[in-house]
Amino acid sequence: MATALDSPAKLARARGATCGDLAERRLAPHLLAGFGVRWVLPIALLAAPLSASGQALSVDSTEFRRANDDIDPEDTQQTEGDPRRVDEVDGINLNECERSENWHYEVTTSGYSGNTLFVYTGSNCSDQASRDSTGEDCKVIERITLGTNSSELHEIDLGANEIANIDGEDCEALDDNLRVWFLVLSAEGDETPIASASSPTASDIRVLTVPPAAPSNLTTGAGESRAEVDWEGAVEGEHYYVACSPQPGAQVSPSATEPTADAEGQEVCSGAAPTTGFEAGATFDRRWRCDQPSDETLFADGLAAQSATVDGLENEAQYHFAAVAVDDVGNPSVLSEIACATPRPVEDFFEAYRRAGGRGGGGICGVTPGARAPDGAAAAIVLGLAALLSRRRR
Amino acid sequence: MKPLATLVALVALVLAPGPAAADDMRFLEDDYRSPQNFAFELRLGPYYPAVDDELATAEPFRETFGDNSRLRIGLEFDWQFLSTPVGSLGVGVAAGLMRFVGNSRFEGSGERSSEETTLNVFPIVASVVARLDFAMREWQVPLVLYGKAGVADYLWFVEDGSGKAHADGPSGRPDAVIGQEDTFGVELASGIAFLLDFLEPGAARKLDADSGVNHSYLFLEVLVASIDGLGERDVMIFSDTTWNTGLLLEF
Repeated sequence: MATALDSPAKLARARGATCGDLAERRLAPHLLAGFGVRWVLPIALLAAPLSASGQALSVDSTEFRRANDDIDPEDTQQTEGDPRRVDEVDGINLNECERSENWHYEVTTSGYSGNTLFVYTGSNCSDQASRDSTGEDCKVIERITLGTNSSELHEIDLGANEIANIDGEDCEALDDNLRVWFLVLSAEGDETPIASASSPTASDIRVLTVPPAAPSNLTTGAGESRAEVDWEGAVEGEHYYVACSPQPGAQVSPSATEPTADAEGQEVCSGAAPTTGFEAGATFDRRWRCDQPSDETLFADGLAAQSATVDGLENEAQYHFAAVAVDDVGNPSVLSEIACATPRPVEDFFEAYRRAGGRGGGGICGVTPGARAPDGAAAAIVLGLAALLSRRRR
Repeated sequence: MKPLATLVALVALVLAPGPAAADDMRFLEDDYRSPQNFAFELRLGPYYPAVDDELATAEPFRETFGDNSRLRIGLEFDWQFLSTPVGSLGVGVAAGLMRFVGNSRFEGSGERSSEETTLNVFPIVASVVARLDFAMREWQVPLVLYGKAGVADYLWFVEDGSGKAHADGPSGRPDAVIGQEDTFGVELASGIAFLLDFLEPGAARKLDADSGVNHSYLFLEVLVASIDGLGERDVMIFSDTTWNTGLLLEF
């Protein structure tokens, strides 16, 4: 998509650009090969016509890309994006800020020869007052001198901490809504851009590095090869993981003692969790999730998410559970309090009924082999319905 | 019994001088209404099936689902194929739903687990329906007595934490018997329907003119369901004597 801009080329050339800008630009046409691109969202640049000299300039569309889609096996804090919606531009969390995960932009310019493409981060950098030298509201993070080619593609990789941290401090305790601004200026102090655009256009980039509170009042209940985990404190916009120790499917030994319960019926943990560090308040390790990353059955979502059922457990072995809240940009909370459950064989109603001498069951008549049907009653229903339909046709 | 007291009070209310003048009720006469051939009912009421009656001493149903009745909801469609000065005769089909949810118990200890087990029941009934509405048409008394008799098939299945429940077969083969089947029986019902048109004759006339709904009623009935397999022995029993209430539309 191309957005036409009317801009005075004569004025642009008069404003000029320094060759020193070339040394600062980060043209990275081949950088993508080093990143696994997780998702691509076309972002339209909103370009404002600035004058009407009759000579047209244009800013082509750009692409917004998120790099680093692969899980780093050494990074146990990475939440792998499951809480994200891949069709949304979301934000930057603490882990991404600290890792300075790359955000990739492609910007195409045409006809701004001699001027400079400035990349700012801030809430509103179209206003010159916000782009003052203090950098409190807007910080310039790229300068690219535009050449004489009729059309130029600029592939720009920005570190998440560059985008998020306009104050230049560490990534702790940030809570901002920002945008990345692309401004064509003749010089940094110019009041009015020759062209401007921001990305993403749909919403700001949420920069949030304050982790959410952990769920509270965790309780568990056991079933056959399963356990139900319940918690309180669900918040709209958050998602929840259940963490297990040991993991479902892991080799476990039966508990040496019968499970005991406290006065409220909650099973008492017979000891510490077998996984080192698995305790209330511990920093979340994504390897502790009860489910596999591709399995969303334990991905409890939203305000109503206050319980999850963990399957695939070994009977007679005690499991430790914790819940973890994940906010909408992927910050995980610490582990909630720990609760335990020991799955054991159960008898459902049908098993109890049959054990007591009940003779029902075996399948719907005519469907399951061996089942019987009272032919007279079935025939009466069929004949009744047939008669009804016959009379109605008349 | 509360339903009966309510019924008596309702009868007393409607037999007293009502809000509708004789002229207002002329739409009850055939000349003033659209043709009437069908009826539709939306019904609900409590139900507690006598599953444990099949068993000598054990009460697995009560132990799993408790002592309280559950809600039974249902729909019924009738074709009133015969209309006489006394009333109408029709045939109908009805379908309903009941759901009993409880917790499975641990083997051995018998303690309740956190794993749910559910008995789902879908009654299907084909019935003959007789409605005595001569008092309503002749004397503008807004009450209609009715009775129903029909054959029923109660389809049911049991779920445990993993889906359809299974039990060991008679020979001890594990999980050889699936927890689903159907049980045939008969249903008898009798009740009284209160004509809502009596309260707002103008609205009733407009409803008839606009949508063809001749009359609308609130009803209360006693239901006797003998769902014991019609002589078959190897069935789960769902018999109960209970009451239903609901909304009836004739059109």
